[in-house]
Amino acid sequence: MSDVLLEVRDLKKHFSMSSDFVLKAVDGVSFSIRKGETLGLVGESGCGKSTLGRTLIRLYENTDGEVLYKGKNVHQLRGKEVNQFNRDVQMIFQAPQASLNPRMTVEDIVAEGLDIHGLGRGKRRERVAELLELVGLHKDHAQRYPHEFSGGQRQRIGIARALAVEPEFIIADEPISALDVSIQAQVVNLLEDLQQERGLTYLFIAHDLSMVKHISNRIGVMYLGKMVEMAPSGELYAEPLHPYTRALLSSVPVPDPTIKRERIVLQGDLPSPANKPSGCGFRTRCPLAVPRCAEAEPMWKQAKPDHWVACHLLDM
Amino acid sequence: MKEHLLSIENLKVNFKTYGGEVQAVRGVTFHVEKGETVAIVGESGCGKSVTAQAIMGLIPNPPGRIVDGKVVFEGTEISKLPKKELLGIRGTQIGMVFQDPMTALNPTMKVGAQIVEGFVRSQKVSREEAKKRAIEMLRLVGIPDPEQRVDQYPHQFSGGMRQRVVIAIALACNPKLVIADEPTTALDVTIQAQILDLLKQLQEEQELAVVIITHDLGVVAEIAHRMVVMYAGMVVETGTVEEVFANPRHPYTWGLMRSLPRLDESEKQRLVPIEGAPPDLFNPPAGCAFAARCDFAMEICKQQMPPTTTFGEGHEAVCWLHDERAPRIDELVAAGRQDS
Repeated sequence: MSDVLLEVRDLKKHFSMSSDFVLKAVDGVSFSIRKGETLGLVGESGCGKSTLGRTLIRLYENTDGEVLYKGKNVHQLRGKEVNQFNRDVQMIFQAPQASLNPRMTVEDIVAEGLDIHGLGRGKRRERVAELLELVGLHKDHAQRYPHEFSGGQRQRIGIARALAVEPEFIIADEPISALDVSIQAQVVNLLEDLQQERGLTYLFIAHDLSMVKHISNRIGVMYLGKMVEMAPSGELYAEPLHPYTRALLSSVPVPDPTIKRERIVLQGDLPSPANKPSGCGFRTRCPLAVPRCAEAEPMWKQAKPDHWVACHLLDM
Repeated sequence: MKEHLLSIENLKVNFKTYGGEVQAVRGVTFHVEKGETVAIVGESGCGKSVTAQAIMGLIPNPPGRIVDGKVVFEGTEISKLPKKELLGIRGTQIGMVFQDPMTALNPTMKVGAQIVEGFVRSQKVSREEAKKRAIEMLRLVGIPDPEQRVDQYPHQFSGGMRQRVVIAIALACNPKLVIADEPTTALDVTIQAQILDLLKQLQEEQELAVVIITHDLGVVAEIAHRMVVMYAGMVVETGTVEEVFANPRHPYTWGLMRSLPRLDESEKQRLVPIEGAPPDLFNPPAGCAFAARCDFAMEICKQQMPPTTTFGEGHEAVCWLHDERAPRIDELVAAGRQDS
């Protein structure tokens, strides 16, 4: 397909923790991201969603498998191609207080990418002013330091920095989870406006399912380093196929006291990724597990058009 | 007048900082009945956690101090009690569940000993009895193999399990009231669902009163009977959960509810954020603190604190729009919705 921007094929990222222990943070994930869409990635802490995001953009080397960005293997880019890739792809981080250098002025933070890629010559100040206004800040803010801003404003600075080099693809890793509810909506609306104006593609990583559903065209659900389901967001909500997705959706408290739902409360905790169950990773908490789930890993396959899932129950 | 289990009257708490004195809580009044769950909702910095600390007598002094108002628990003004007597109430009559189970537990103590620390102090029981009590509490909060677990250390427990231990500590002395400050914020959703179910079940079985502090309206709808909405150190609206969700009366409550995406929205709607940011509490505005962000603010809102209006069944809102001289709200709302 021509509209695929990024393709991931059986990607693995393992960390050697000691001589006899390998942590399989991402363990064989395949999917693609289309140009101009927002792909949401959800899962509980430790499921590998952030590691996946970071491996996609070369912040981590891959252990196995490949990531193709516009058809090129990103882990084998060399020389100028690396520079171009680093411009095309940008990241917005979770904690706006930790991801902005407290000793740099906002102007220097936002312009760092311009300086590195040699884009700002002669018009650095105007570019920064333009970017600050684009994200809803004032150009007079350029000479201030990060501590002078509120959390929501700092996240806007992080967004301005990401946009400075005119990227095509942005990975937003929990960009709003550190913000208050009334401020979250401001930042999400800003991200949506920027996407419309600039045709950006987003990978939106978060654990807040309602917000992910709101912003994403499609959603991938991860569990213990694997993708267990991926579908258009409306369909994932209306007809989840994987038992984990169903439990996850039913766990989200709905802000409406008149709705009394049957909740699927999962027993137990997420197993340690160091000591994964055999077969399907979810079987230890799955209310529907059968003997086969312990014997073999379920295949990742298309159950319906554009709706992928990995579960043995669908073969029966 | 009927006596409430807990009542907070015109509570004001200030903190001295290098930048001046912050008025973190500016006159909060609400009450909790026996066996009910009350949620305090608001954004960071609105004073909800400070209110909880004041109930428990945990305001660090200095820099903090209770400037005015009182906390009355079962007819006793506990905000005036000497420390020693307060200790007799805290932990035995009132339990506390903290947000972060990683830091709320002592890493060098076995969980069993932590659970019964307060129990042993108040009941003077033998070691065997104390251990039996600890095992019983672990079983109550749903920890498997409590006989083995009682002798383990916090690092041997997962996050959700640790929060269960923290709840067991709060309940060990059969308190009448538990204050839970963001008890599920640090947990994953599937674990949050487990903990909310546990709190609800314990609350019903033990006829506990629970004050839950949260910023998540979903949690409120799920667990609370009544809610108290706070903004900039003050209560802006209180009422039963059903009533406030169905007929919110304060523009801040409207804003909170409209800025949330819903999992069950069928068509994508643009979110309606509350523009701007909360006021600086070093120097709070003279009138309504929300006026600067309010779509319906009038001239008087900026100058004078609004009165409290009652709508029946304990539903109250603090807003000038409910004054009889103000323009009718439904007209303003209709106009406002057209704009957005």
